[in-house]
Amino acid sequence: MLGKYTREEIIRIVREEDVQFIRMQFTDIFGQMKNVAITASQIEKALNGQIMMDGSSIEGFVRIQESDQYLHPNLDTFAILPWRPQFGKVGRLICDVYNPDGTPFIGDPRGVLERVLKRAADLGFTFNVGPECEFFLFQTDENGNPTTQTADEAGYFDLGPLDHGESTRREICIALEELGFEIEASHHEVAPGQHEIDFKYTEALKAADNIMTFKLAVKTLAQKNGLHATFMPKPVYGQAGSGMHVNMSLFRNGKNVFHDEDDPKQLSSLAYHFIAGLLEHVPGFVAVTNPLVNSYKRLVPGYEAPCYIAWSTGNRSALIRVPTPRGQSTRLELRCPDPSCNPYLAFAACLAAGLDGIERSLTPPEEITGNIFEMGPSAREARNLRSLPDTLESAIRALQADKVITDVLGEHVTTQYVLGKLREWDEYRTQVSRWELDNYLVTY
Amino acid sequence: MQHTDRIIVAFANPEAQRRIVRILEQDGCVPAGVFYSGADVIRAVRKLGSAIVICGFKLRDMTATELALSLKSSAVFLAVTSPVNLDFCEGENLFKLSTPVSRADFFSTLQVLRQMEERTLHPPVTRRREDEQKLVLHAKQLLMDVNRMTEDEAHRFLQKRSMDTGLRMVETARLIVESYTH
Repeated sequence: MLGKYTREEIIRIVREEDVQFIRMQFTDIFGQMKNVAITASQIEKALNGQIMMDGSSIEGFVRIQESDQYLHPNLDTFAILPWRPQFGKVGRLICDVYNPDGTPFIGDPRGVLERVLKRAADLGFTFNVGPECEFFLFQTDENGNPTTQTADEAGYFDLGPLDHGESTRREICIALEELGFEIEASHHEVAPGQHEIDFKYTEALKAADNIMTFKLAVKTLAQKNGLHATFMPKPVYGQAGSGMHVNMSLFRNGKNVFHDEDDPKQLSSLAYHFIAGLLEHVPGFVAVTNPLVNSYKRLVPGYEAPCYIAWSTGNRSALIRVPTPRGQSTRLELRCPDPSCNPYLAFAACLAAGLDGIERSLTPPEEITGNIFEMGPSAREARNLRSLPDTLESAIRALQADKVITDVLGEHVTTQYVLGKLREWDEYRTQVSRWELDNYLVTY
Repeated sequence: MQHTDRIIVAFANPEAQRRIVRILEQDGCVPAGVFYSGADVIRAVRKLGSAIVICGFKLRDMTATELALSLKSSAVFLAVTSPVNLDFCEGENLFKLSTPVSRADFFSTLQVLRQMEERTLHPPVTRRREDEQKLVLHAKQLLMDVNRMTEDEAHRFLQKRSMDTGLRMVETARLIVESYTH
């Protein structure tokens, strides 16, 4: 179980539970989990922050001549992984990355989120996040390599014999609950082989840690069940893609500051400013919330994924939706992120955008009540509806132009992220795709 | 032949796979599945409910040990491989046979595995005697007729009363029948 552990408690648990290995986990700039595995005998050294790693081997971290970096574990994140063998148990600690001089490494995404959360805390706010993660479970081929095939014929909320991934999804939920997650919902999604698991909102740093743990659990338990799990946003043309809707709220002194009983929509001025900040900066941060070339294959009309920059109460075609519950449950749902993103950077960008809206008292445009997907170009123009960037390249250019977002990421992360993503875009755009061959090889 | 529909053959090497399938088929045994990958085996066992898996020490995507662990509660394994590779095979549900294997050893081991699979993975279901079954049905019918319960509600009522009082369901049914018929 996750909980508040002291150093002595962790040492005792490692000994009593016969934990053999501990994974010191951290996340790189592109959202990939990395780890240094240590034996149980090293636990005290680990808790002293003395475990070193070569940062130059992590893309986007440091150069070879300054490569010694240290992993400082967060004691609250200690857990024994429930899907590992019960003989030879494996524990884990989520770590922050530090420089040899004891200062936080500015390229550590977890640190990026911690710094903007501190800024929010100085304003009296706690930033809470509740993610809704979708993913696909696919079969593997005779060599064990992933395919996009599924034996699953089920659809949205289906259950029973049709839902072949149900037992895997159930096993994932049980494992997550053993790790202290509060699972709010779990169900089959629209596309064959697609599933969703929602966990209860929590403070943003913990929510980001949870998403990294969640992805590890899903991938591991899928493999254990002979399936391949993917968080790729759009693995199958013509089917719904996988999003990661992010429900956000700000609290102050235990009270949700987005709620105002006297407002016609029961939203406070802070909520409206936050919405305006998100809408203003979404072109700038979509490269972070939707980081892959493939992410933009999902953000197309016809699949409930947003394409236009708009907000609405209840309307699922909008980029930002305000779900019905109010009071302490008042929240904003940002619907563009996908689960391939780095959750630390994504939440940091969202918070920075929202805080900018609050600090500048920005006003959002009128909410859109109709189905945006059914509006023609002139109707959208009449409402001044802008589109989201439609490629990774245009999203990166928009990021570079948005000072609020580049400031929150910091110069190091921004530079390395942009470099990496432009390289990715360049590799993609120079590939000759199956579509091109099918459409041009014979005709020309 | 018993359980011919629940033997799975899984080897990374096609020749090794063919050899085992041939031996089984010569004995009148048709495998339920023939695979190269552990993932395929896992999916097949989940569909079958339980199985005997005859495999090499390593499949194309995982080791026999990893596979046996994944299917600890639903399959028993027979790893057939060289003596050196057998050292890499471990598991409570994993038996080993070293190549070259004699037909006698192979089939006698398979027989042991069949019994294990039957007992461990398919424990006997306790069945009520016919007269007890009739009593329970009678009690349900009374609850449905007199108390306007549906069949589901009557069943749940009997279950809950049994749990609350510590009596077997058939005893609870007897009490209900006696109450309504006196």
